Amino acid sequence: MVEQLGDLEAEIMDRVWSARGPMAVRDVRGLLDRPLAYTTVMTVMDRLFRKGWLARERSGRSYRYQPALSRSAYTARLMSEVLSGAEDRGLTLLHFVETMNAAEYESLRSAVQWHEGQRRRGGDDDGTPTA
Amino acid sequence: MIPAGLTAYALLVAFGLPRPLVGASWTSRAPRLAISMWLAAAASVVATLILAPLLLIVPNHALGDLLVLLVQWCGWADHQLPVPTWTAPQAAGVAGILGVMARLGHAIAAVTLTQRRIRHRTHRDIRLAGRFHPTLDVVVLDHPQPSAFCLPGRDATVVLTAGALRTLPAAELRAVIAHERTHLRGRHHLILTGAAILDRAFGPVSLFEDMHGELRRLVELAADDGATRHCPRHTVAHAVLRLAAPPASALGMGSTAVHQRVLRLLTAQAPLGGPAVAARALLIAALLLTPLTVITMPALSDLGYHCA
Repeated sequence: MVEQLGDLEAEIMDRVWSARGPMAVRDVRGLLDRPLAYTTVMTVMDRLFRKGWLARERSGRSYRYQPALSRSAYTARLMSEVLSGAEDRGLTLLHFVETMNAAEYESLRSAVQWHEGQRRRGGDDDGTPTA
Repeated sequence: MIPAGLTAYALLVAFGLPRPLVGASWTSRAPRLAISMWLAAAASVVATLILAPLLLIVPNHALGDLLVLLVQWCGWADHQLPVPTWTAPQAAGVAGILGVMARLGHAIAAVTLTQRRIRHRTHRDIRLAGRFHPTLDVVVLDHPQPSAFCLPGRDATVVLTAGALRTLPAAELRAVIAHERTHLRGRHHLILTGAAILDRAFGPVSLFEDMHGELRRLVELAADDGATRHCPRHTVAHAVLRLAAPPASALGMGSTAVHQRVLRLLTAQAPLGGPAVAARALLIAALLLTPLTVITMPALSDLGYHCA
């Protein structure tokens, strides 16, 4: 159940991010993949508001919601956390590779180019198939 | 006698093994074997840290006595056993074992709780901000910086940025994904979490201090090896190089590890030969069995004596 609500949060955020302007619960509900009770959608959107994901303003007897941060601004914040997450590296996520500083990158790149030249000249000397 | 012997053994493994193992070049040729050796050494020392004080509490022959009692109960032998009493070394043993348990318990709690909190938040953030890419079976984050990582855990997933999708040619993209999936399949985060816990609990001991950094390096090599089963070595090397490129904001870090990682893929050293692997496997077995053998030895000889 918790997982399903999590997926619903993601789906609702996706619809709100894709929308052009503020949306009422009814509008969002109409855009979801599966038919859900109005109160379910309202509860999840209320929770997203309390968590700071959605902003809302009163309009008549209900609220109109819009994202607190744009998707790209949100992703940028997330990525800067991910890329600088030095305190627990390797425990909660494993990077493919850290970015290098410019000098080291250049020296590595020329080393790779040299090896690449060797490989091309020597044909298949590293034992890997060229096909 | 036996507690002293065990302590000497633990000191040898904890302070004597790390330096040669960090310096050894075979670890890059057989990263998985090297990971096993580090883990076996750590398990051996931790077991000894618990068993040595335990032997002070429980009389040396208690285990043997237990075996003899079992034999008596089965009606095979008839022998009187002494009733154990409390002494000063036993109190020291209790203190020792409580100390080890407390440090270990505290480190486990501290590391796993922080980790769970951060992982929960990251999973949720990425599920909300990312888009699932059904053909690649990865989550894509709409961000220009080329980057790739995996989130281990119950709903484990590989995450790529849109920048990585744009930058990487198809073959290198496969290499990156295969690398990350090797991390997930190999449960590499559990290995690193165990190392982080031991580093935190017994940090000043060089075995645990060195193991943490070394395992981080070795799981990357193991994941590269996993990727080379799906594509040529030089493709993996180029993928590493491409994603290691310094970002526009020039916040790259100095890393000789990446340099070694790429050159290792390009030079393709021969894997360790059979005898070399066997010798190291034997050392791993010895590390795992020594503490157990030492404490069961008197028991076995007791059993032999009582049943003779």
